Amino acid sequence: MKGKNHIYYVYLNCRTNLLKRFINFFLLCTSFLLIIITGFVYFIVNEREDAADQMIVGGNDNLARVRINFYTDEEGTDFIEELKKKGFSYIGQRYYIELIMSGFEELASQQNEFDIKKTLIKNNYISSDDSDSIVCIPFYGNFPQLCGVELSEGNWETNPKEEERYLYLGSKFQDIPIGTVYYNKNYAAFSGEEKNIKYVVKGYMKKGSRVLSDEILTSRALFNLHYGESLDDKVVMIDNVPIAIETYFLANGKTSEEINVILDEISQKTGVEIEKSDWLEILKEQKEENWILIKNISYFLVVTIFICISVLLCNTLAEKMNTGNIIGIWYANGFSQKDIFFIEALDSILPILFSAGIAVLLSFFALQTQYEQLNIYIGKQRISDLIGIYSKSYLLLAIVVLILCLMLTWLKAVQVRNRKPMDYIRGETL
Amino acid sequence: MIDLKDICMDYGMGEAKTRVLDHIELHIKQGEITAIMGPSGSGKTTLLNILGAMDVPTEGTYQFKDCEVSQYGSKQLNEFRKNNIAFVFQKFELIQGYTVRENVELPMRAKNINRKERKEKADEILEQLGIGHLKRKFPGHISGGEQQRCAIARAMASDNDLILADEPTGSLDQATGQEIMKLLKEMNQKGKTVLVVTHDEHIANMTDRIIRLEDGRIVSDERV
Repeated sequence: MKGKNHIYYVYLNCRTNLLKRFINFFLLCTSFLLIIITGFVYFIVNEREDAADQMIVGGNDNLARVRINFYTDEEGTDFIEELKKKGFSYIGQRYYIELIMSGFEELASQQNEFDIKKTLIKNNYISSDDSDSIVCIPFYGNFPQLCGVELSEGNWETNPKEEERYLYLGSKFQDIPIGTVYYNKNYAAFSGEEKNIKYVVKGYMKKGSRVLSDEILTSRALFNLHYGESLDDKVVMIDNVPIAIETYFLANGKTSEEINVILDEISQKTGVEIEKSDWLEILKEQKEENWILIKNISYFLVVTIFICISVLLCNTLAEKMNTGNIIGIWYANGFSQKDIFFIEALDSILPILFSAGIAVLLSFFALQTQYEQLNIYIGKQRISDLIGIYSKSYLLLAIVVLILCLMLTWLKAVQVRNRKPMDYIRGETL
Repeated sequence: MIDLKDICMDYGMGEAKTRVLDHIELHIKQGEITAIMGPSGSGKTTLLNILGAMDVPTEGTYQFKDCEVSQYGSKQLNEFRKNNIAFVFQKFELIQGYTVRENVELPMRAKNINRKERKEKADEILEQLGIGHLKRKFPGHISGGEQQRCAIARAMASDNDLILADEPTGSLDQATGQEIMKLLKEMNQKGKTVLVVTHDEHIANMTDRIIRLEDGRIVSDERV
């Protein structure tokens, strides 16, 4: 029999069992979609961990995380100076404030002379990829200086009071005169009390400040590691640095034990209370957290695949128990064993492949849309091997599909093999 | 055309072994219409299945024209069945999910007959049997007599020389049964060899020859 006749009988089988096929298709498609998406999440999590590690310490473990509990401006300065003397270099910190633009927008409508507001409104945000578009509001004026962020004009100064803050602008905003004043509403973190904050432009940062770029890169890598999203659509400010929750220093050529000893010494000397941990520990903690996520995903995946296979097999067996005599009728009308095997195998495999194809298409569009929103970045760079992650997810699906196809083909081969045509007519098909 | 020599058929193994056909010797000429009669369990259907290459005898030789069918493997049996045999069953054995025409097309599809020829031939046979208007209906929506006509149409569509009918009137009333037998006789008159298994003396008397089986043996073979 010609191949097109095999396909024709697969079509007739589908037409005869339309509802069951639809249920099979729906279940398969959903399961395959879940397999792709969970696979995608799994591979992204792994990729993110590796990339963050590579980005921050290049695979080295000599990074210290210092959690500073309390200190004054003077003590903080001493602490950082001491660290620098011991060969520690500042990497970055995990602390972000989103600048609420609405207040500035209001201001813009009232005070047209400030070009910055137009820029802010036009773009709605200042891209943190561009170090020249950064707005820096240092709580303690000396900290950016210590971190090596240089100004082209003006001096780093500490904010005089809570309601008044100094703004240091990226070189792109140099047309805004120093001394320009903005007012913006702000809300206290705990009480929610509304405050009118005065912002005063005090200087401009140097164009293409390397240190500042590194700072942003590192911050973003850390943020990615912890929260799995970037700050691409948010304004990044270097704010309140000395009381940052976590600050990272790279201690070149030092072991974790040496880092601990040095930090304890400096802490005692400067009177700054700190909590410390090393990079490996941070990474381990994060990997443990991720592992829980991956474990749950894996359970979910296994259960999904199990349900999918069970329903498929039950449906296939139920269908064959009800329509077993069809094979006998085919035999009686000159169909060969090979024809029947092909029809039966195709009948099982084609819906699987079709469902897989639809699932791949749906997942591709869904992930493409989500991908843009998720902003899957590692540090400054978008994950370059995204195609690789897609491929891995699809490979995972391909393996599941292959196993399913082989299993069903084997089942069909067993079903058709070594049975007399009359067995089917009599209904002895199982 | 058909030569059965010393055919035996056993079911089961060891002590449970039952001999269903016991040293059958039978010769059927091309163009004959023959009835096989006998009580239940006498081996009529088994004999028909062996003749139709649906079952293989335990012992003996089955020769069809110049072919030694009893020596065939399953692949050759399939090929033999496709090119020489057409079945008509008591319960029609139509596929419920296929339309009348799709059922009739089955043997032609197995023979890779092209689409145009297949459709034309199926429609022609259905018209000839008076069920052309039912070609798009499903078997579940037509009467028993119409279903059996459809089964006969399928047998005609195969254009094979030997038609094996296993109690073709068993599920039908007498009048419809007679009509079905007339159709089988018409096919016989067109040169087909027809073997009919039946319990019904009236039906048997419509054939040229009656072979009676009892306990797996031929007890009589008489011309009508």
